[in-house]
Amino acid sequence: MRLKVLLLFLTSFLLSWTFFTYLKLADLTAVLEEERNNLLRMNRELSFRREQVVRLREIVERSRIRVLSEREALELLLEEVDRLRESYDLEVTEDLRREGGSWRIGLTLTFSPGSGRELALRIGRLLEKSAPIVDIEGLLIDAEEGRVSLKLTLIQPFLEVKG
Amino acid sequence: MGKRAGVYVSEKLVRTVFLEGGRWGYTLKEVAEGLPSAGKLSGYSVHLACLHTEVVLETIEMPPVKDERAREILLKKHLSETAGISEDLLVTYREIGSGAEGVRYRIFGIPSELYHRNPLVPGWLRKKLDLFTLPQFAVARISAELFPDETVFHVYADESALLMVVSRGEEVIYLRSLPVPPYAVDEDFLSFLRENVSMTYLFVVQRQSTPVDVVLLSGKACEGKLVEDLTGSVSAGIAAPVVPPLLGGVSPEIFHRYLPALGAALTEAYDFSPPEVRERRRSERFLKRVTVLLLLLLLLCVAGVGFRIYTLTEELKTLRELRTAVVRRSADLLEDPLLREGFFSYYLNYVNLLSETRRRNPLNLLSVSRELISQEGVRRCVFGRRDSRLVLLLKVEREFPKLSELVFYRERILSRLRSLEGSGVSYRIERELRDLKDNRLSMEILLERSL
Repeated sequence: MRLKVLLLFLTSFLLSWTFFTYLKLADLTAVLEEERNNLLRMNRELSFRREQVVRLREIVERSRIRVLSEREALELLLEEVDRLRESYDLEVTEDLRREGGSWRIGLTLTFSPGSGRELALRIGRLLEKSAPIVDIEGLLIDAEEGRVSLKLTLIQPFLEVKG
Repeated sequence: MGKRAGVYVSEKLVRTVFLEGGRWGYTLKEVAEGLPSAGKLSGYSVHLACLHTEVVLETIEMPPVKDERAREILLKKHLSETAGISEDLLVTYREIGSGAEGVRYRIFGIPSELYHRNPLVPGWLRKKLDLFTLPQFAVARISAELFPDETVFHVYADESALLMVVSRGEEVIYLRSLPVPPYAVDEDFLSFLRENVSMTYLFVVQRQSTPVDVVLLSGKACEGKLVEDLTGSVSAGIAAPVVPPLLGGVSPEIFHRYLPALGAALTEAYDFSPPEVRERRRSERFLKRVTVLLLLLLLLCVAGVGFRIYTLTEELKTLRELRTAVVRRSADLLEDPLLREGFFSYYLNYVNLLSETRRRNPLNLLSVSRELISQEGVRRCVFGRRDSRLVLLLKVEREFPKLSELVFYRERILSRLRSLEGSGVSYRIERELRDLKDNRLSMEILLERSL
């Protein structure tokens, strides 16, 4: 009888212990499942970031964007001003300035196009530029005088070296 | 059905049968003369039939009592009073109906010494017992198995005793037992049987008014000429019991020789064990069942734990793979030259600035105002930005030879402006001058679009 009671007690103890282990393992499984979900989310996020990087690279390559130092950026901007001076009646409306990570200069370009096609070509050429960036602020077409004025800002970003 | 051992014990004989339960009944595994060892009996449910010829049989009526223990005490008290027995008895009883005083019980009693101080039953065997009965009741169990709906007068005889039991189904109605006297062992055994059986039969049929359907002769009772001798004096059919279908692997010889042991193994009724022993057995049975249940639950839990461990292993494997994938992807991404320290934000700012200047370009209004600008008479176009809007100011001046042309021209301009509705561009005529005398039209139109 005592042996049977002892056996019963042992069985109860083992059952409780096993059941407790089962519950603990269930908890652990839940934790691991959550961890798996986190990793899956992270994986998805990384894929998304990868796609963004690929897209960015495509834009960078298409726009021929190069990494320029502050000095290189300034040289490129001033070269562009000189180049524009050759084709347009150029007036500097806002002086050269350093703003954030870019050089900026405000210009007004005036010219008398021979035809609408020439006007379109000139504007198209300006808009295509990505180094420096041409931010057109205004355009005045005076049909009576046959003159066109373009108010724009040339912006050339550069890589800021910190420290 | 389980495994059962039936032990028949008398002063001269000890016979044991070992049965194993199956789907359709029991199979005889072994028979033994003499007491088997304790080890051999382990795993078996042991039913013992101990020969005692002087059984107290009484019919008692008393008010119904629900509590089993109290009922038994009251029945014992009634039995002592009616039968005038002072010694301590072990009893077993059956409810057989109801009478004027309450419930009617048939009660059988044996001296308690037969259980507690029986030299034929060793202590270790007593402790192992699951049922303690008399061979008379074991014989009745065989009668019930063969003729469940008939009243059977069963005569069993062996070297120790002559047992006569009248029963119907499992209910024992009457019993008489006699030890075989020394004079009858060799020569006068048949006449001993004949006299006692005839006398008891007549008593049962005539005095007790119990109609007997079948007389069964078993053991040594069916060996001699008892059948022929009884034919004249017994009105019921006489037969020798055959092996019931419940028992497999039993030959007729074994069946007759071990009939009380076989009956004891099969019976579950008429247990004379003392109440405390029955209580202990009940507790043990309960403990056993609970233990089995707990073991089953334990098994289930162990299986559950195993399953959980398997799931965890799989989960860990998946996690390892996922972690590797994440690390690899992160490394790939970080190795990209575009993402080198500072480069990514430079490129991103550059691209954002580029797209922002393109978005804020006032010339974007050209796409919607092309037809308007190309109209004859447009003197000046001013594209620009005002607050967070793109604006286009058009100055139109024209002279017409006819007034109708002026009106049509104006309508055309207005129609072009109306067609802009829904494209996100709003328009406003800032100034309009119509000189109808000289057929001159002068207008200033402002187009606006939110950035």
